[in-house]
Amino acid sequence: MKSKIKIDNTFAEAFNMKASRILVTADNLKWAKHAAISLTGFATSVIACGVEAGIECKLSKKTSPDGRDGYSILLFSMSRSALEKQLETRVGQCILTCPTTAVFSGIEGDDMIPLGKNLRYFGDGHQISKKIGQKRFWRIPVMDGEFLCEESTGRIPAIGGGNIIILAHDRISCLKACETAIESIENQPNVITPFPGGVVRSGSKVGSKYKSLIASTNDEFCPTLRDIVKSKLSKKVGCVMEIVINGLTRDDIEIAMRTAIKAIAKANISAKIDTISAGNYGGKLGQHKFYLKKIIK
Amino acid sequence: MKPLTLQPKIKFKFRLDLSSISILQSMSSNKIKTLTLMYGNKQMRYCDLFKISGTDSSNIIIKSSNEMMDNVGKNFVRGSLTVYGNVGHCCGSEMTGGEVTIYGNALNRVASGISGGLLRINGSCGDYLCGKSNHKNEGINDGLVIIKGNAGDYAIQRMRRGVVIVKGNVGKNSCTEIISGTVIITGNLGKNFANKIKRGTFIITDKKFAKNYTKSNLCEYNFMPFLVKHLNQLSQDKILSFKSFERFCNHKTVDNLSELFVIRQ
Repeated sequence: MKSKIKIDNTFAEAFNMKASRILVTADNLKWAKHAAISLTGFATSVIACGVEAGIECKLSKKTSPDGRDGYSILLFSMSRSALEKQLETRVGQCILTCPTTAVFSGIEGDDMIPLGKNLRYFGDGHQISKKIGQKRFWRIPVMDGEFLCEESTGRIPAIGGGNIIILAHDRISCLKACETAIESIENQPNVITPFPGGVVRSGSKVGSKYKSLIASTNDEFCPTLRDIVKSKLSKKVGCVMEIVINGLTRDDIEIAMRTAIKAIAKANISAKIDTISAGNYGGKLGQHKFYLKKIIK
Repeated sequence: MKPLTLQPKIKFKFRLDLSSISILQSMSSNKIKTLTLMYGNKQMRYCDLFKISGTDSSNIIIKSSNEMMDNVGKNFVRGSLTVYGNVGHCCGSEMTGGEVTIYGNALNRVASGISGGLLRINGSCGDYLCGKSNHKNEGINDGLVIIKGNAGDYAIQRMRRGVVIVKGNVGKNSCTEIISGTVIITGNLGKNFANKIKRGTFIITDKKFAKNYTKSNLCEYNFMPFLVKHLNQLSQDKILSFKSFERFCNHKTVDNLSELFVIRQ
C-alpha cells in the first residue's frame, strides 16, 4: 500500500458462529426496509442481544423469490438454539406484523431451523400449507391479506468478530474513515457489520474489575486513559473506532477487511488516520486469526 | 461426457417395459449393453434393441421413441431423462426425483403415484393422469407435473400434495377425492370436476366451476405472484402467467376447505 497509514503487526481474533440468511420482501422497498430494520434492531452483539444481525443487500424484483422488492438479512449466533429462538421471535414480532411482507429462506444447509414452522399456528387453523418443489410454505391469513413464509431456513457454520480498529487524530476524521470503509463493503455478499452504522465506539475487553461483568471497556484503546493505563495509543491519537465484520466464510471476512482498509487509505482524510489495528484477546479465545499484514498484501 | 443415448434399432411389434431405465444411472455403459429386458416372450439385451452411445448415465436421452414403450421414467430418482417422441403407458409413474421431459404425447396413467421430481410432457396425455398406483390409495404425493397439451378422463385422483399443471383441457371426472395440493388448469374442465374433495388450491380459467363457491373478499394474495415466479423458475419456462385473478372459497353445498383462483390470462 502506498498510503502513509501505519498498519499494526497484529491480528483480528474471530469466533466460530452459526449463521442463517432470510429474505424479506414487501410491496415496496419502504416497507421491506421497515421490516428489515425492525428485525435487525437490537442485534449488535451476542453478549446481550442473543444474535448479531444486519442487512446484507437489497433484493431487486428479479432476484427476490416473489418478484417484489426486499432485503437479504444475515443472522449470526453462538449456538443453534439461540439462533433458532431469536429468529422465530424476531420474525414473529417484526416481519409478521409489518404490512405486506413475506419471508423466505435465503440459504440451504444440512441443518434446517424453523422459520415459519411454528408461526403458522398464528393462523388458528386457517393457515394453508403449500409444498412447491422441495420447500414447504405457509400462508397465514392476516388483516392485510395473507402472510407468506417458508417453513424453515438453512443453518450453516460461519465466522463472527473479524474487525479493524481505526486510530485517528480526531473524531471527525475517524468517523469519516469508518463511513468510507462501511460504504466500500456495503454491497459485498456474505458479510454484515452488525453495529449501528457498522461502527463500534465501545470496543470491549474480556472481564472487568466488577465480578458480575463479563466484558468492559477496552482501556488500551481509550484516548482518555492513555496516561493512566498501559495504552496502545500514541500521543497523536484522539479517537478510536472499530468496525466489526461477520461473514459466512474466512475468505468473505478477509475480502471485506482488505476492501475496508484500502478504502480508508484512498480517502481524503487518510492523512489524519494514524494507524489501523485490530482487536484480539491474545489469540486464546477465538478460533480464527486475521493478520492485517497478510490480508493487505 | 456425452449423454447416454438410446435409439431403437427396430420397429417394435410388442410392448416394451422400460422401467429398468431408472437403474441405468448406476451402471457403466458396457454393463448397460448387456442388461436384459423382455420383448414379447423373449429376453433380449439392450444393445439388441437399441443403438447405444454416450457414457453420461446421469443424463439419458431416448430418441425416436414410440407409444409401444411403457414405464418410461418409472421409479426415476435423480438425473435427467429426455425422450423425443411419444411414449406408452405409466410414463413417470412412482417417480421420486430427477427430471423427465417428453417431447411427444403419452398414453394412460402418466405420473401415477409420483412422489417427487419434475415430469414435463410437451404434448397430451391419456386417462388417469397422476392417478393412484397399483398398491397405493393415493395419487400424486409430491412433485411437479406439467402437461402442455390436454389430459384425458379421471385425471388427478386422490392427490395428496404437489403441483399439477395442465395447459390444455381435462376430461370428465377429473380431480376427484383430492386431499390437498395445487392444480392449475388453463383449458376447459370436463364434467363432474373436483368431486368429493377435501382441500386443495385450484387455479383455473373456466369460470363455470366457480359458481358453486362463494367469492372471497378482494385483497392481495402474496402467494400468487410467488407461485408464478417459483413455478416458472422450477420449470425453466414461462409456464404460468396471468393478468388478474378472483378468489373463491367456501363451497356452497359441500363442506370442504378448497379454494379457487379464477385467472384471466
